[in-house]
Amino acid sequence: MWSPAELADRLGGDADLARELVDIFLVEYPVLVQAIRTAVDHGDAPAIRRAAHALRGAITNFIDDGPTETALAIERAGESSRLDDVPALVRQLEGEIHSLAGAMQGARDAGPCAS
Amino acid sequence: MRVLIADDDPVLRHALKAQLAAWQYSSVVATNGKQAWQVLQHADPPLLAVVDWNMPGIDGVDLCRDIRATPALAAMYLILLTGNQDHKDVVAGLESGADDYITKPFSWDELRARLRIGSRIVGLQQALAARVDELQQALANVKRLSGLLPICAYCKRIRNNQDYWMQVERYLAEHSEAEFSHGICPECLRTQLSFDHS
Repeated sequence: MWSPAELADRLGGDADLARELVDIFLVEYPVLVQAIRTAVDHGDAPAIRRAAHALRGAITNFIDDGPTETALAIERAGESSRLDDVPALVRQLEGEIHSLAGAMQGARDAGPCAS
Repeated sequence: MRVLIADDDPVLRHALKAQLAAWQYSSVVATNGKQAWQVLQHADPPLLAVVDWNMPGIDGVDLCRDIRATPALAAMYLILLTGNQDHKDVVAGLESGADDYITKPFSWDELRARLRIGSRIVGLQQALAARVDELQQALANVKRLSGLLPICAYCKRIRNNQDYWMQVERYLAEHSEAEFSHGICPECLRTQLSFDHS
């Protein structure tokens, strides 16, 4: 589970920086999710791998499990060109990302990330 | 010390720039490998770099290879940052020319410590290069005495580069650090001055 206080703590207690990173992620993640969807629609395994890797990289700035693991599973599916499970994984990832983004938005609305 | 940050992830890029500033590094930021390569073409490029492996265009591994193939950038200390954790990826990353390899997710304390190592190595390399320059300069100033010297078989004068026959002690004084103290050897004392100790 993502924790704003933990993020600020990992950044040496810099709550302002934590808030800035959350703001950037909330703007960027829909683009990264859309890139995965587009790659899946085209059945383009290398593009699925690249897009999932990019999203995983962005998520690992905040959380090590949940959507990070799902993005890794999609990335590996793209790498091995075994795409049967990918649509279900993408749906799972979207749900997890939605929860993460909601938690971030809630923390942002509530005040400083360190609180 | 200036650090090149090359990463296509805007979140991590922003975090890296802020953390490096907090650790007293200045940074130059590139959003992909091609932009990073362009930064390195300018005079006085950063000597320390944190480079993401997976970037569009020129990726981090190719960037490391290009840097290592460029003599002017040979002293750069490269930290490769990646989500690839397989052993074979670590080996491939280091063989591409990276000096260090950090897998995501990483601890900021660890990155700070590794940057300190890189900074120390760059500092040592700079000190070594300055010392080599000094020594080369000193060597250029040392009078060298070597090669085949034409010497008169009778009077022992040496012919210099201007085709002038010089006294051997003058020639040696001009072409080496040797100095002379004149005296008379026992043999010359006997034959030249008819002085015999016996």
